[in-house]
Formats: sequence, structure tokens, C-alpha cells
Amino acid sequence: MSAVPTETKGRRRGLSGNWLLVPNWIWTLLFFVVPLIFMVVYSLGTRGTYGEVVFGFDLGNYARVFDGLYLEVFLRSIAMALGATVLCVLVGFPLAYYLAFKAGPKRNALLVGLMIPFFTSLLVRSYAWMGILNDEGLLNDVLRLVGLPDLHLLNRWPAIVIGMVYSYLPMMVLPLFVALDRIDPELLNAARDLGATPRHVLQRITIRLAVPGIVAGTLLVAIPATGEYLIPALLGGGKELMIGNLIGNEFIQSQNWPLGSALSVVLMIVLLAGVAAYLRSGAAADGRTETRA
Amino acid sequence: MSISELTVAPTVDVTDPTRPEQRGRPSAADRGLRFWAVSMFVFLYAPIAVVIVFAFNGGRFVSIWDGFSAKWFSVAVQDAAMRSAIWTSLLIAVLATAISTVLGTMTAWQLERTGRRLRGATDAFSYARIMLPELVGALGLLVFVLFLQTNGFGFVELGLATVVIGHVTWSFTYVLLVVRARLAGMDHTLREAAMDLGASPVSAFRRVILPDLWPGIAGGALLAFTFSFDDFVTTFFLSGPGVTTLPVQLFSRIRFGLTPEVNAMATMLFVLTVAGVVGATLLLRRGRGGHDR
Repeated sequence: MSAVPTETKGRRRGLSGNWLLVPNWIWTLLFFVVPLIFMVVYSLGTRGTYGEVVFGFDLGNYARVFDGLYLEVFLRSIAMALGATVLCVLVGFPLAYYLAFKAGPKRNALLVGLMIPFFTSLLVRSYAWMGILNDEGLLNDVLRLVGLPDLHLLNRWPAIVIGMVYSYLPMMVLPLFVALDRIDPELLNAARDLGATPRHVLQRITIRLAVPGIVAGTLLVAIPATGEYLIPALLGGGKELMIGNLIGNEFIQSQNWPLGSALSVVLMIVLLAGVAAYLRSGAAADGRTETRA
Repeated sequence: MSISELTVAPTVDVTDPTRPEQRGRPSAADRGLRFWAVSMFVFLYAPIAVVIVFAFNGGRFVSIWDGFSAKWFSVAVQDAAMRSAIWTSLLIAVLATAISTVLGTMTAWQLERTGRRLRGATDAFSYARIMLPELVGALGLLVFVLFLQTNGFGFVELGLATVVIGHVTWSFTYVLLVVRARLAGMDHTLREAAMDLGASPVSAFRRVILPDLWPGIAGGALLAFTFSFDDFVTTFFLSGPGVTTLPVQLFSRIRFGLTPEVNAMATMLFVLTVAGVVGATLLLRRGRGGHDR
């Protein structure tokens, strides 16, 4: 990004003046930071007899999080989200590669084409898969045509994972594309001239140079996927829940705000910890391979 | 002289260094990649196509074709609940877009001229919102509202305002990203020159920066609008009983079962989104007309 030339920074500021940032700060503080703080406060309270919230410093809600059902749903949600993320990487990398290196003049149109489904309502997209995956849906129609047995995917975890891969694929392909696009073709040319096989070039250069894109894509997919609400609600049909649904139910159906808040806080912590661990491991891996190469 | 000049023949396509075939005939790997790319685009669009196709289904069922008919569109449009949901969605989207566009543009503009530390902190907060699952942020606001309601601010209630606030907190980041990207590609010395020549800061902004910037602002606004119109999770938790947007309405309908009427509504939603995204892209693509004055 080009910055304002440094000679002018000290001079007249004109319209600039950091007061322009104040509305943003106020908004973010009031409607993002403060609510999160309240969530932590509520998580330490308990649910009174009439459904009201009794404030205190009670870690009971957190203890319940590690209870059978919640813990199980937490772990399953993380597993599903990670599974979807890995699938997105596997499926999306060749696509990003094609867009970056092989698409030529069509590339911009294809990129827009890639983003259009992403901006379509998640509702529409999940709904589409409901029609395809259900027992009388398109998938089974096709399978029957070919003589294969029915697949009962809807309302079980495969449907949710498929739905997530489908929804988040553009979010994976885009950073991958950006990273691959940045690679100087001369580097790859030089490697080939120096005798590297195409596989070598791919493995040791292209993929490694694309790592920042893989990291970005992974974060952009795994984090929202873990906290998904709509996809499991539609494609899980109420039978297969993810942690997002559970938390939502605590708020709306059980009216147990403290417990719901505690679950949300745990979710946030898990995500933050996961991201921190992931980023640290990524950096370490890069350090090792650098010295080896 | 670079390595490439020494070793690469003039006929080689240097933009595609991974091709083993220097003569330009596609290799098996190339064909495989292209097949994969095509398959992925089919994968991305097929479910949406299915929804659209079955919106024109004459029969009552979503997976059994029974002749072409556009009747479901008129049914959907005459459905009072749907119409009111559309109006509500539009109203919320317009409000949220207006606020987030103003906020986002102000912030983007000022952020370019801010010192690194303030910029880093502002960035962190602005982007943290979209790094967390949407559910967490929405529930945080919900908890905040609940607290206000039960602790003196009884007039606060879930409704239009809370939904708009929830939307702005998210979509503001989109506007910020887009406008910043646009600003980064602009020449700021022109504005300084204008002020040197006697223009006031406001006038310089209006006549020098704005003509170049407004496609970025408009593009960000369109994206914010699309996000708001399509949004489910934030709206679902913050809307309360009186406010129903189109995605929320669709969600309850879907829970009752799949009908072609829902397909028709989903199709209309999709068309709106495509118009928004393509519009935003075209706007952002607009050439820099101001420079040959």
C-alpha cells in the first residue's frame, strides 16, 4: 500500500485529523468490545428461578461446558470445521493454481464468477443442498439412474461438511490465488532451467511460496466454520448440531443466558488458542525448511 | 542480464513457466487442471442452478419436474408475509449501508495518514469482528441489549435499530477494506498540489480525491448492501418478534418444508445478489478518468 509521502505528513493536515477515527472507535467499543465484555460477565452469572440472571462469580457454567453433551458437540464441531478446511485446501488449491497460472485473459471474469456464489445468501446455498442431498433429491436420483444405492447424507454430518466446503471454498481459493499470483514466474523458469522436475518446482517452490495464502485461507475458513449456525441448522435438520446451534438454543429456547455466554466465551478462547497455535507452528515450520533448503 | 535472458528462448511463454511443453501444446497436467477448474465451477453453480430451475417447476414438489411455469414467482410476490419481509430487508439494508459507508470511508481516509501504532490498533479491532464467527458477535450484542433492558434502559428493545447496528458492525469492515484498497492506488500528491495552489482542504478533497474515490465507495456500499440483505445469523438473533427480514422468513418456511415458492424467493434473492456483486465489480473496475484533466 502506498502511504502518504512522508514530507507532507508534518505539514498541514487539512481534512485529516485523527478525530475522523473517533466514530469508528466509539462504534467498535460500544458495539463490539463492550458486548463481549458483557458476555464474559454474564458467563459468570447463573440463571435465577424466574429466568432472570443472577450476577456473581460462578464458574459453574464453565464446568458444565466440559460436561458430556457440550464437550462432545464442541469436539465434533471442531472436527467438522477442520475437515471442511482441509477439503477446501485440497479442492481449492488446483483451482487457485489454474486461475493464477493458466487462466490467462479469462482470469478476472472467472474471479468474479468465483465470488458471486460467495456473496449469495448462505440461506439460498444451503437450501440448494437440501434439495440435492435429501432422500428423494437430485443426488439419489442420479445414483439410482446409474444403479448405485441411495446415499442418506442429509441431516447427518456429511451433509454439513459438504455444505461448509461449498460455502467456504471461495474464501479459500481467493487468498491462495493472491499468493500464487504473487510468485514471480521467472523464479519457476529459473528452477526449471536449473534442472528441477515439474514436481520439484511444485512441491519445493510453488507450494512453499503459497504458504501465506494457505494460512490466510485456513483461518478464513476454519474460524467461521467452527461457529457455524445456519449450515448445520438446515443441513443437519435439528438432528446433527454444531456448537453454534447449541449456543443459540441456550439463548433462545432455554433462556439460559449465562450458560450460553459461557459456551460462547469458551468458543472464542478455543478459536484464539487454535489460531495462535497454528500461526506459531507455521512460523516454526518455515524456519526449519529454510535452513534445510 | 537476468538468468531468463540467458536461458530462455524468445518463443517461450514466460507467463506460464510450469508448462513442460514450451511449444504451447497443453500437457496432461494442464488438461487435468482445466478439467478440475471447470468441475469446481460446475460444483459452485450447480446447486444454485437447481434452485433456479425448480423455481420454474409447475408441480408442487421441489425435486420432481412437472412442466415449466412461472406461477410460483407470482405466488411469492403476492404472499403478504414475503412482501413485508422484503420491505423490511430493504429498509434495514439501506440504513445499514448508509451508516457503514460513511463510517468506513471516514476511517479508510484517515487511516492512510495515521501513525503506525494507532493504525495497527484500529486495524486489529476493525478486522477482529470478522475474524470471529458471526454468531459470537451477534450474541454479544444480544447480551448487551438484555443488560440494558433489565438495568434501567427499559426502552431498549430488539428491533430495527438493533439489527441495523449489528449489520453495520460487520459490513463496515467490507467498506473499509474496499475503500482502503482504492485509496492505496491513488496519487495523494495531487491533493497536496491542489492545496498548494490555494484550494481549501474540503475543496481539494471534493474535486481531486472524490472523483477517483467514489467508485471505491460505491463498490464498498454495494457489498455492504448485499451483506445486509443476505444476512441471517445477526438478524435472527437481534430482530425480536416484530421484525422479519427475507432470509429469516425463508428460514422459517424452509423449516416447514421445501416448496417451489421458496425456490422462487431464493431465485429472486440470488438475482439481487448477482446484480450487486457485478455492479460493485464494474464500479471498482472503472478507469481513472480524472487524470487527463
